[in-house]
Amino acid sequence: MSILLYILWLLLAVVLQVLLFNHLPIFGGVALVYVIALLKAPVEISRVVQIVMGFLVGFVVDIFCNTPGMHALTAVSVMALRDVILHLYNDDPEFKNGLVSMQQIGLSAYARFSLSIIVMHCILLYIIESFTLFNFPVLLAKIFISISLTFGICMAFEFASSKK
Amino acid sequence: MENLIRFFTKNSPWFTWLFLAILSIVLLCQTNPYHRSIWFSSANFITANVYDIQANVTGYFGLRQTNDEMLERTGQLEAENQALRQLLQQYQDLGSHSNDSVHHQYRYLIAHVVGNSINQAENYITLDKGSADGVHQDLGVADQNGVVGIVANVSEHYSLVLSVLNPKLRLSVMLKDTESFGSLVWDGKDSRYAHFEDLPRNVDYENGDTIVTTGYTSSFPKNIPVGRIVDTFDGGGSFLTLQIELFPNFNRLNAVHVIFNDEQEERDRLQESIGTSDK
Repeated sequence: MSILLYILWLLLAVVLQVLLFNHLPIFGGVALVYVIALLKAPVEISRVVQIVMGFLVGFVVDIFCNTPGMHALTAVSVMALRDVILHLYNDDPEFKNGLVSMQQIGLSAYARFSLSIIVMHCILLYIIESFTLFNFPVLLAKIFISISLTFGICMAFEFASSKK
Repeated sequence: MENLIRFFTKNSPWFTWLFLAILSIVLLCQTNPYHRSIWFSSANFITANVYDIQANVTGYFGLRQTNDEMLERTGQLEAENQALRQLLQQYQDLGSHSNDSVHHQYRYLIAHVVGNSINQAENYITLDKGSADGVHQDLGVADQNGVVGIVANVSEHYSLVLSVLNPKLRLSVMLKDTESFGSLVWDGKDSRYAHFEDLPRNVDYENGDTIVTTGYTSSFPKNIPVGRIVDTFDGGGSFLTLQIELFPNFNRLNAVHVIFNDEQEERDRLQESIGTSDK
């Protein structure tokens, strides 16, 4: 059941990313809402599957953005570390099934977990991007704006979905 | 042996990551958009269709302003047309030109923008015309205001355009009505501005002067508008760099025209035929 629910989250996040949020840049930074698909991956699926999935999500976003490899490399690397980071904030041994959510691990742990992932993702992504065009102030601004927007929107989604 | 297998199974997530990361880096390193596969771009069948559906909805936004700009441009062209007609009439009266010697070198094809970005380090535009409509690499693309980009790659029904907002595009441009030329390059900061590089220091110009294409490359005819000068960066060498405000609004591109250069096709065919006879 949680796999089906997760596939819905995944499709929603990627579609919103490529059709909406990619077209709403604020001073060059965009909200990377597809990171939700990385955050919420169910804990019962194996790390190898999580990593492959991270690659595929990044690759689809890449094709829409004409940036082959950029989002894929970022997402696959973040996904490789996701479970390690999750264990830093969540030491509940009971949590072996289901999507990572606020209800499962608590508001504070979820906020810290998602902020860590988002900070990692944005920094890595824009550093990879800056290999083609390096401009330090622009790089910093993009990272800062993207982190704030992404974190804000991810938390809003989390609150909206946990109301049900 | 057993230890080796245990090592691999224990670390399988890291090996998966390593393999996929290397794959991504290989994709990243294919930096030349002309050589990249069209299937990994937004002009592939599925992606372009998704963008096409979206553009059908959002394409109506901002139409009023586009319409006003087009009307203004039509007015300008009408005036130009009148002036040229008079000039042609004068030549015909002098007997130096017959009507059929007026040669139409360039043709235009209207295309719609289905995908576009302005905030990335390298920006591309997806158009709804492809090889089935005769579009091929290196054709110039402009809208009613000015130069937009150059076709980098085509699929059957869509094409991928290297936007002016892509540092990989260097466009040959000049100050209007002078022959002082340089190249137009985007600096990656703001989608409204680009740099005019390598302008010789001895050239007279003012802020507000218009920059146009040179016609030296086959993609664009001479005198297609590009932008206007707003600022000068003096690096101290024998060349200047100017800040150019671009005429097209890249945030709101809608209908554009792809420019076909018939002479270029003729030249290409000629060169090909020479190439084949050599072999």
